[in-house]
Amino acid sequence: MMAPGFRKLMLTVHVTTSVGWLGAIAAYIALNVPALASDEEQAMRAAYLMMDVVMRYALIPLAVASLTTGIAQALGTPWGLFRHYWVTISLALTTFAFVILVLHVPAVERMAAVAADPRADVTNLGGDLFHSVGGLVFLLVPLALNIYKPRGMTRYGWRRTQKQRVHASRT
Amino acid sequence: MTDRPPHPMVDRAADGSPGLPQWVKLLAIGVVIAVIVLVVTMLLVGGEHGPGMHGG
Repeated sequence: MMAPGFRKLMLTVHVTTSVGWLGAIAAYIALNVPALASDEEQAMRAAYLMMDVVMRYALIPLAVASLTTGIAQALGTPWGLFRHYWVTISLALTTFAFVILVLHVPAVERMAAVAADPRADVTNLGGDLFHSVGGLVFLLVPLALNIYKPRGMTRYGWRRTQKQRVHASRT
Repeated sequence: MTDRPPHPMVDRAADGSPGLPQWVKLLAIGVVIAVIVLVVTMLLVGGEHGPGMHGG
């Protein structure tokens, strides 16, 4: 188990990176406005180029940090990773969102490459609202689970608790 | 995560047997409905989206 001071530090990093991940998604969604609605071609190109930058240097690093600190936080506290449904489901949803994010990188790179080519037409790229809005809505579920922490132990968690109770009663 | 982890001996004792909580069932139903809506929308729009588009 983590020492209380270290646990607080890890929690601070976890909350910061998780909220930062959501903020980076909001910035990515905002870039879709000029990409989809601007009349100026330069603004559209700049938006697609910046989507790639936000993806590489904000979304991916923050997602990695959020996921790893979340796992460390679960393993270093009595919550555990697979003892409570809300922790396990949060882990599954966050991991799924991270995998989709990583798999989506090549598509964003392709859009940025088209935008970087002055001869290419950017008006038909179509933006990237589907993944960004979908990702934001999707990540609100683990966010809510982390705040509300609804009751419910998994079979594994229940067995562990029973064993610890027996052990505690013998000592 | 949390700044107040449960004490494994005391907290959550009321959880009782490991039956599937109601909120997990509701969440699962919500996910299934969302997936169905997504698939139907994709089919109606033209089905251009899918895991294949992520291949690079």
